[in-house]
Amino acid sequence: MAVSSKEIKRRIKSVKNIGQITKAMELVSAAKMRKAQALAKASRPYATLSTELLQNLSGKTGDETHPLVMRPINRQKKSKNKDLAILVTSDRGLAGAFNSNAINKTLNLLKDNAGKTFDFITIGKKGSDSVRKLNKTIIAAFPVKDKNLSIFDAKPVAEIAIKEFLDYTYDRVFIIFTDFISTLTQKANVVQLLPIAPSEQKAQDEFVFEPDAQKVLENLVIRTIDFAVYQTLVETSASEHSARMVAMRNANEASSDLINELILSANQARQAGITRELAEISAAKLAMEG
Amino acid sequence: MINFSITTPERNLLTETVDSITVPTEMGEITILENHIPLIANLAPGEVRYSGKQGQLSFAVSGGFVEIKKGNQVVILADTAEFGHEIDLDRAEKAREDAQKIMQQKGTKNFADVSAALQKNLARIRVAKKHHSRGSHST
Repeated sequence: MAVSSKEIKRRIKSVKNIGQITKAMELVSAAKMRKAQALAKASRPYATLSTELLQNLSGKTGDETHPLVMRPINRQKKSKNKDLAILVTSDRGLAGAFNSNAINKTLNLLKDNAGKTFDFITIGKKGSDSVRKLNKTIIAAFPVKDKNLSIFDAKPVAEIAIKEFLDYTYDRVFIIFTDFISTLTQKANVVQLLPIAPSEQKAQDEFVFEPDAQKVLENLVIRTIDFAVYQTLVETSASEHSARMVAMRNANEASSDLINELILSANQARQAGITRELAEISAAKLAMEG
Repeated sequence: MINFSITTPERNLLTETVDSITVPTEMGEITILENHIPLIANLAPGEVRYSGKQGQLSFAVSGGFVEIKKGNQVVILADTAEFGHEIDLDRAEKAREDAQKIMQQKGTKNFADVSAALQKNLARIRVAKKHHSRGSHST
C-alpha cells in the first residue's frame, strides 16, 4: 500500500472542505444568476422596439444622416488606421471557459484585422489583465458592477467610444461580450458598435416626426449606443453567473466522486493493515508454539 | 381603445388598453386619443398620465420617445419610468435641491444635463405626491 491510511484520511478531509466551498459558491452564483437572467430577458423588449424605431427612421433623414451612422466615404479621409475594441469580461475567475472564450474571440478579431492597430476599453479585471499581456493600449478600464446594473453604468463607456469615434481617432468600434443563450450555453460574440449599420428594411408606415426626423434620429442614435452597451453588460453578467454556477456544480460532482474513491482506498488500506496484523499475530503464535 | 405599453431598458413597465394618454414631448404636452396619426416624438422629462379602467394614473419619465403606430398602438420607450409608489419622495426632493444648487453656481459646464436632472426630479416629486395624497384618502 503506497499511501498510508492516515494520509488518505487527511486528503478526504481537504477534498470535503473544497467541496463545501464549491457548494457555497454554486448557491451564491445560482441566486445571482437568476437576477442577472431576469435583467437580460427584461431588456429584450426594448431592444426589439428601438430597432423597429430605427428602421422607421431610416430613409427619412436623407443622405446626411448622422455622423455615428455609416458614412464610409467621409470617414476614410482622416483615417488613422486604428480601431477600438471594448472587451467585456468578469472581475473574478472560476467560471469555466467563460473569460478565455471572450479573450479568444478578441484574438481572432485581431487576427482578422491584422492591418489595423487596436486600442482597448476593458470592463472586468480578467480582460484588462490579458490585454496588458498582449501589449495593447487600454484607454479606459472599468470594473464590473455586480449589483443593480442599470443603463447609467453603460453611459460612461458609450460616451468615451462616441467621443473618440467622432474625433476620428478610430475608424470602427467593436464590442466583445458573451451572449447569454441558456444556463448551459453562452457564446462569446463580436458586434460592431460604431458606425451603426443602417438598416436595410424600410418603414411601412408614414410617420410624422416631432420636432423633426433629424432631431429624433440624434436622440435615438445616442440611446441606441448606450443601450447596446447596456445590453452587452447584462448579457455578459447573466453568462458569467451561469458559467460559474455550472463550473461549481461540476467541481462539486467531481469532489464527491473523489471522496468516494478515497473512501474506497482508505478502506482497502485499513483492511490490508488488519490482514497484515492478523498474519503477524498468527506467525508469532506459531513460532512460540513451535 | 388604445393599446399602450411603456418599456425601459430595465423592464417592461406596463401593457394595457387605455382611453387617453398625455405625454410631455420636447414640443410641449400632447394628449393622444383614438385614431391618432402615426407620430414619433422625443419625450421630455416629466409626467405621463393615462386614463384606463383604474381611473387616471401617472408615472414619471426622464426622456426617450413616444411612438404612435397605426391601429391605435402607442409605445413609450423611456430611459427611466417610475410609478408614484416606487418613488422615494425624500430622495427626489434632495436630488432636486442638489440640481438647483448646481444650477445657481456660476460657470456650470453641464447646464443642460443638470437642468434635465432638475426637470426629471420635479416630475418625480409631482407623481410621488399625487400618489401619496391618493393613498391617504383611500385608507
